[in-house]
Amino acid sequence: MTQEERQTKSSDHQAANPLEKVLEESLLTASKQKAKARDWEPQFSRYVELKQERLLRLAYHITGCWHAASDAVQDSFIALHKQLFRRGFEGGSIGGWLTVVTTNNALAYLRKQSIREASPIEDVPEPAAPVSDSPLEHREAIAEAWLRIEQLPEQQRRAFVLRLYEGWSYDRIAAELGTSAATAQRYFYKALDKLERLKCNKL
Amino acid sequence: MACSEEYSRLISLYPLSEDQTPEERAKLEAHIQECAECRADLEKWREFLNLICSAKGVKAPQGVLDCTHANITAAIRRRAAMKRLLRVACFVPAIAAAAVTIAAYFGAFGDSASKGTAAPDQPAIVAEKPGEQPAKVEESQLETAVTPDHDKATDPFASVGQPEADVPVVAERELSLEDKFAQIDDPAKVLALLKAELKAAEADPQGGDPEGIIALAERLGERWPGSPESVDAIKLISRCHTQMGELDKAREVFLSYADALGKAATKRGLARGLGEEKAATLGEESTVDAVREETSRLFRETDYTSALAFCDVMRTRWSGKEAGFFGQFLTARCYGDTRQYDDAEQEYRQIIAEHPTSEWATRARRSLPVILANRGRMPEAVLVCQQWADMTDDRQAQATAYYFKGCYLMAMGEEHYPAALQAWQWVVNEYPDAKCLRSVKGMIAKLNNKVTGHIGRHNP
Repeated sequence: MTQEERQTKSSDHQAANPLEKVLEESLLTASKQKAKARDWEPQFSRYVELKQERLLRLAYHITGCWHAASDAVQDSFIALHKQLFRRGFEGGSIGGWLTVVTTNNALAYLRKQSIREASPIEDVPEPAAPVSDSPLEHREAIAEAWLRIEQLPEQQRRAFVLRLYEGWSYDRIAAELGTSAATAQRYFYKALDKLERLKCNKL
Repeated sequence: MACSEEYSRLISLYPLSEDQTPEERAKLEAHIQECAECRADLEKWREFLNLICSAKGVKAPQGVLDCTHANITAAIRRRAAMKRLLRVACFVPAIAAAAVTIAAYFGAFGDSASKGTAAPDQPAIVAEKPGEQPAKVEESQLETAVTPDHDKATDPFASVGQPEADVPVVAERELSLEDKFAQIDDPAKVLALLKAELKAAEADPQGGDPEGIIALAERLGERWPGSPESVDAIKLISRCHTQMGELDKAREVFLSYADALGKAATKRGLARGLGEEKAATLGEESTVDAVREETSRLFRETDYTSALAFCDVMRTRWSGKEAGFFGQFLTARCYGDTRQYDDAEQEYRQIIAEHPTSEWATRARRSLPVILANRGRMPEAVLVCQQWADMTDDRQAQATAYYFKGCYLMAMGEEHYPAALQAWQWVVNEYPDAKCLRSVKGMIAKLNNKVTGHIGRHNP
């Protein structure tokens, strides 16, 4: 199978909600036209409504805590708003940008947590309420896995998250990263290779 | 092994069928039948990918969704309001300066009688010198300057946190409120009218009629059910009750307003602090278990103010008993979580000093290092961990103590790495059944990587 064939075959397997797409496009247009944030507040709010659950799931999966997930997602959307209506949006697509930024925010939380260990006490209630429902060991393993991903270089990490978690095609990832599809694929393979080696303790 | 290198890429792509040709897959499948090492690698890799992708089945609770959405909207609106404030604050002095320039121009060429002086019936305007602090803008000025052209009808957020619309209440006082209510057909205008009426009542408690406003606000809800104004009217009713001094009723109505909005965050925020009042009026008949449960609940919900009030009750009412210790311990946790580290440390140390052999002292020894570490006092944290390990008979606790000790030693810098490694190695050797063994091994690997990287950089 040639590289082109692979690229064509590896199409997006998670099509976005059509309304989400329309909103993304109109927000991008508004950003380019330097529209007033106030006039676009209802649209932005609707977009948050549509998009937040998916991002919350991702952030929760990484952090294991709904509060931290909510914080990560809030920070991402506030940063997006700033980018759209103040600085000018620099990413490729809003959806991909949000996924990557939310992952980074959640990973930053995870890194902090791994440094500052919590002090779990058996029957005394834990602070910052809903803790993960999954068993502790499983949770720990997930955190460990994501901390590995955190070690990847930025471009490789972005390619990895967008391909594996979002199921994007290499063309779409390439547009997001501002590279060619072949380079995006290379980033992804490098990330896989590095993670596989890390996982199997070959590094 | 050589095969590991050769098949490494095939293994990494194997779970992603789209990225691999059938020939490559067949080749790898044939190989893993023979090579145990590659088979184990593939298993590990699959497990890893499953961990990464297992988020897809999770569902976010409605409360989290509501709260996230509400917080994003509020943050964006706050930012916008701040931006507008700044704009107005810069704009008003500029207008004043321009007015002075014009006045000076006309003063110089105009009527000699008014030369150099302001007209007696007009306020004098003081010019701003460049570089001076801008003149302070009155709040009322800002309110009118901030929202003149915004179309509230098209904005779903307009009714929240925005200044109220001006309605000529004083000029139309001769008509009764009921008459005006009957005449207006627009719910937004009715709401604005009622708000203005309430504002007047708040300014002049003797002249207002909050009960009349409540009645009309309820009628607004009946007349335009489901409209955003009908929801806002509930808030208005709550304000009327506050005005009438019926605080409980006001709170109850406000909670129903929060329900109507579907904003779980608002509701939770409002319920905060209620526990403080409740703790003050806690009857003697309340059982230990009930109070303890309530305290734990408040702590879990991060309502620390209320939890502290309940802890105080527990500490005074059951002093020297189990429940009293619990209250003291939870007090320390509340302080710790609210970053009042000095108070938290004091409480923990007091527990350790007064009841060194109690279960609570063990727990305090476990929590105290976290507080100390947060203040950057790592050596003390290490010391407390060691004391904790020495004092407890519980093997799991001992292992955890050594694990923490290692972490704090590692945080103290490179010269303490060997000591940290020794502490963790001790756990691996002496406590093979420890629950924290996985974390310990992870830390050992992390430290080894760090050390290797360090040597690699300096001795290429």
